[in-house]
Amino acid sequence: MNEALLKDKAKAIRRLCVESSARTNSSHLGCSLSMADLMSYLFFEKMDAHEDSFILSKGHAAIGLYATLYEKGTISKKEYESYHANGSQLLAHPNHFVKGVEVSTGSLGHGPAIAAGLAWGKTMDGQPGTVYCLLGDGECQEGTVWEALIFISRNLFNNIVLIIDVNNYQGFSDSSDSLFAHEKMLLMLKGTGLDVREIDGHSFEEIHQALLDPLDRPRILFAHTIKGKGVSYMENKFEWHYKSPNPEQLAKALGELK
Amino acid sequence: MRNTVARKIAEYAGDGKHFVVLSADLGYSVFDNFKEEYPDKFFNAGIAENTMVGVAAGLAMTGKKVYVYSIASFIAEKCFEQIREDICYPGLPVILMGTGAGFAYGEAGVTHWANEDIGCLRTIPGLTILSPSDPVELDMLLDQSMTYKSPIYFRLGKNGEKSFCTNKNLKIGQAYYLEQEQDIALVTHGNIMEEVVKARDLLKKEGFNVSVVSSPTIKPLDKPFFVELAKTHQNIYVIEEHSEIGGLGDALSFLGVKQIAIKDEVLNVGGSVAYLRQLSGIDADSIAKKVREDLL
Repeated sequence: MNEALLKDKAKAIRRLCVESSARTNSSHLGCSLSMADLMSYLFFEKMDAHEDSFILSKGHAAIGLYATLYEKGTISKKEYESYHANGSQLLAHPNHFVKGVEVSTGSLGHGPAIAAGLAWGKTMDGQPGTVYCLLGDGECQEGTVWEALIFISRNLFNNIVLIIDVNNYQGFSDSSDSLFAHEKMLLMLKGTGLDVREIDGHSFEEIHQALLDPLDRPRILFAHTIKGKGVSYMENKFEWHYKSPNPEQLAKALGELK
Repeated sequence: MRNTVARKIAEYAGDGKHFVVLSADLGYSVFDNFKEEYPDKFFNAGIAENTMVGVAAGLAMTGKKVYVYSIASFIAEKCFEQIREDICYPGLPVILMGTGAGFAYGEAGVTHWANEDIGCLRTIPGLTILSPSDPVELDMLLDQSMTYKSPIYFRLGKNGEKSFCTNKNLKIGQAYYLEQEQDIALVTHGNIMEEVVKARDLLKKEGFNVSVVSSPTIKPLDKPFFVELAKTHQNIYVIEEHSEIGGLGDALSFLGVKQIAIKDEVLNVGGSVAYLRQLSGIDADSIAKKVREDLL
């Protein structure tokens, strides 16, 4: 693992997110910043572009995905900069008409079942590759997440990794933990019998270790993160679920993300 | 119709390596033989319809031909969002099979009836909606579903529907005459066909010669057929075991058709299919009465 490169890429993703949010006056910045290190690791270290699949089930963090795809060279600068514009396919939720986006998402709780079907289909045919599905901790309040977990826990396939971006904030100032206690969620996740690993979602070393050994059953990473990570005045401030930076705030954010 | 589904699916499974059937814990008496014969092609997804449809989307992305089976309302209405976003937006050729069209689960009550399914699903771009009236129609439509390149919803009866179909080469997208007369036409789809045929017989005895049209494809609508029909028929009745909102009658409203369908009212009692049809004014006698009263 080239940690220096992954750190650079994560910073670049965060810069792109902040700039795009400021330029387009669009929301869901905090939850794009919280997952940037996970995205950097998956796209620049872990995943094989031809064999592996990625589903952003927490679709509202689409700008984080588009920034990653742009940084990876999958989509052009022109495409990337069309984000949020009239007539663009780069909507505020992932759209599979965009190169590199495999599944359209936005309504929460859809990713795990689709990921399960994808992983299972690959297994049936002996196709290589792992399916990575990134969820939010708030998203785990959706019943379909648990329905899909029951299905996944039948062990029909072991080529699936669910990663939960536990940034602890969602639509109101109530923390995710106060709505569905993380301790309880972890117990329930462990109750599925899947390989659940609790990590720091900003530590490349911990992400790396958690994904290093081959899967012997579906794996879940319960990745603790900080909403707004990387920009001091956004960190753990739920309002950055909605707000976009003004020019002064943008300059400060970019200064911190150098 | 359920037995036709089981028989056809066994035929396809025999030569389809990419073939998968998912059921949400339903069809015990229908699929038990199939399950034994093809244990690697039939999967009980559990009582989890939303997940079943999402899983079907993922499987279809890997090139599998997936047939999904449950009660019609549990598919069309419970899984509306998965159908809209996971199946139809990417245009995955998943075949959704909903059993228990209209009042078919009579005594089971409102949770098990499917009188709104077409209305919901017609609004989704890219979804073909088929409502065969008998096992003969179903047989021909299922054959085409195997190679169909986009998603289909099959609305199926479950009460041993009699066969009336005379069309030997029915295609998806076609309506056809079961009987061709002039001036008055009874247009229908799905398991209520037997009531329509009975109504035709009653009217015939009274000297009214009426055309009977079967339109097993609800979407895409066979517009040219209906435009021609309207040229030779002043009085077109669309009869369906579905809400008067959103069904075939609604789809044909541009021709000024008259609807004989389930009223947009809460129905808080149950009973047999025959009872519920009578109560809703869509049984043979009610259909004949309506036509008679209009025309005399």
